[in-house]
Amino acid sequence: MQNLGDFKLPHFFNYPPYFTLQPVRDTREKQVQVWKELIIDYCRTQKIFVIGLEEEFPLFSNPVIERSLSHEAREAFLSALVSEGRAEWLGKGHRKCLILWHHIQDWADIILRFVKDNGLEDSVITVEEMRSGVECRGTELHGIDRAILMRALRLLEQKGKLAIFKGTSADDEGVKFSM
Amino acid sequence: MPSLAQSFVVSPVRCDVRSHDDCMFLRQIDLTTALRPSLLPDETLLFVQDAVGLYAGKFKLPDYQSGQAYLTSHRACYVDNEEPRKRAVAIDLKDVDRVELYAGFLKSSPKVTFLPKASRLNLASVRHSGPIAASSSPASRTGSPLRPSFEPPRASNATWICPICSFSNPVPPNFDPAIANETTPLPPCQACGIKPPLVNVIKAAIAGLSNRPQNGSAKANVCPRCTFENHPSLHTCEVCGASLQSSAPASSGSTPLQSSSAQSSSARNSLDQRPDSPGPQVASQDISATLANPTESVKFSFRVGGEKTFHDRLKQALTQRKWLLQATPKYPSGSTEHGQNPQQAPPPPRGIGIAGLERRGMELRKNNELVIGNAFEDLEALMASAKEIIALAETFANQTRPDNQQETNDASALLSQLNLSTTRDMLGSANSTTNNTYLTELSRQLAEYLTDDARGILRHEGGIISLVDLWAVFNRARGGVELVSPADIAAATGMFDKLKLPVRQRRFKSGLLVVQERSRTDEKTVAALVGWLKDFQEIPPDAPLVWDWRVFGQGVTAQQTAEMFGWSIGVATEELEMAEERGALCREVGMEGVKFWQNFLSVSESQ
Repeated sequence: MQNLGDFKLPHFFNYPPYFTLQPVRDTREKQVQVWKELIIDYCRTQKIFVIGLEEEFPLFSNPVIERSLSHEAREAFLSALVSEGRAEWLGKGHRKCLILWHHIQDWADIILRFVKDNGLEDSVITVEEMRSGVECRGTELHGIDRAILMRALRLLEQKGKLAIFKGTSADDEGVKFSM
Repeated sequence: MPSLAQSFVVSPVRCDVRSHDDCMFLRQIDLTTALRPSLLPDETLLFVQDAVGLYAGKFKLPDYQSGQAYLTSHRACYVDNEEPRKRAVAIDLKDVDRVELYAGFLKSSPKVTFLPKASRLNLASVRHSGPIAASSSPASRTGSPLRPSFEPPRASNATWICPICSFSNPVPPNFDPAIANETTPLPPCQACGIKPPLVNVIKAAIAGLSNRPQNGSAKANVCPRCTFENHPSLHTCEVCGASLQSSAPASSGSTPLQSSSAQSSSARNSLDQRPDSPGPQVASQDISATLANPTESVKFSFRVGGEKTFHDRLKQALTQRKWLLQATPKYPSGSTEHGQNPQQAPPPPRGIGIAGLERRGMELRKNNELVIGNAFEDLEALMASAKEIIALAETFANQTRPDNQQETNDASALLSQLNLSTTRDMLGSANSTTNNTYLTELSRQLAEYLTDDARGILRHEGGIISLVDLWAVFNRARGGVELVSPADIAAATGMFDKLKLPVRQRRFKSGLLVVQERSRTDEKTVAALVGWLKDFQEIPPDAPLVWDWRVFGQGVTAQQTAEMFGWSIGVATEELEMAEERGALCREVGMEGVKFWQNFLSVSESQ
């Protein structure tokens, strides 16, 4: 078993055919399945939210066996993730992909739990603080992608759990919880 | 001891399948793998016709009504369509006295009748046949014409003529011509007291046998015009020449004939008015051969035509009498002396490389020299080795004139030596049915060619050969004579399955057509591939590999597969893709091209 950073790679990573998009339908389905899980796991542990297709993503190539995924293969796997609902394409054209190892709803729940744990009801907190503040260290919110956070917050706003308003500085927003 | 009266009774014998060996001169033959008659070394195939039925005498043979007729220089064969291995019979042309053609009338199909040689057959068989099965008859003859259900004949009313005084003495009642020999006591002539030679008595006894049907049937034929009592098997009165009515047919227990009415109406053809007596029948009008002749003629009935060509070629074959050539001695091979019987030439020493080739060429030349020298020294030896000389001359001619495509007799003789002689010419005019026959015969020939162990084409190609390769090899073997078009090869191989031949055609996903043995299935191929790939997990590789070969093994390219199994590259690619389709293999596209691995992706990821 190899390690990529501190991430334990699965057995398959050393299997050269793993990096070739299989033409046979059944085999391809299995292959896609394995890749999806791998991507999700990796992103979750490494806190990676966005994958760019053109960029070098360490998961997509294995220098040990000198094999890497072709562009077509990457797109195929990410599309599979998108259709499953665990990812989204950012912008037009399939260039960047937002990985949602938690659904937006899950993120919303995490935010609510965070608020409850820290007693932040009826108080105001900036978005930045939510992301990288003292309280959120150790939670999943730490280092969360801003776009995801905003979407989760908006979802909660629709539900009426909080209100978003523009803060004093132009580039930050504040959140007022009203559970 | 059975009474005299009982011994006269002729038990009716039907010419059905069981009594084949005894009632006519048909006999079982061997078939090749493609269900065609296997030819003797000098035998050439002259004609093929399908939709043929067999008749024995007047009766249809029940199981032999739909099959193919093969006419060769030595035999006329019949191979049934449904049960080819069980029902394949042939008539030796050397046993045929003559042949008649019946052109068909209304519902009755044209027929070619084979009339056996009566006298030689009988005399030989009577002299040599044991009580029942005539195993002692000469090897070239067919089974004994005497029916085993016959009691050993006792001609009590036979008379022999004394050669001295021409008195007719009765043949003694216990005299059995079958087992008579020198020690049999013979009574002397009643007039002059001289003991007769054994031969006369035997002949007379046999002659007496021929009179037995007279006692068996109703009564002697009485001529309507002059009231002369004729022999019952005559068709015209001996005195006045009036045509005789055949005796009323006994209840025919045999299969009813559709064409019996039509046949009997054509009174001109005397063969059809043969008396329907179930006893021994006289095959021809000529009964000066007074020997009892229980053999019957055999008829081939042509349901869709072809009888004209068959008849013509048959007559040709009968006049040519190629079976006699079998008796000629072989020409001496290079290592034996002139005039000696040819021994088996020791196999030439296997040479390797150029030296071996040169040595072989030299030996060949020496042999040729010897053959030509011997042949031309002695004119008789030339006649005997005429065939070989012709073959030699032909090969030389082909070498010097490679573009000569003219088909001569010799070329076709050479061709037929290779058993590749199915040509359109052989099958009559080109209409759709003939085309069909051509394709059927071609496919049988292809099957034989492929399964021929001496050549081992299929084996050489690893058991599977693409149609293109087959076409090339086949035409090359034909030697530039009567080449087969690719369309014909494709159509002929398509018929393999229908004819139940041991090879079959297979179409890959990409449209590639191949021919392979019937027993080779996809599963077997996949299992073979996987087994081979598994080996890679055991054997350590030569060069160090960057992945864990113990777990994954190695990938193989199409090239490696082709080398391993003996296939061609195209076939190897197709087989690998087929295995991939089934999920046994998965591919990997890398810098070196496409490689195929054992499919570990499909294994559940319980890591």
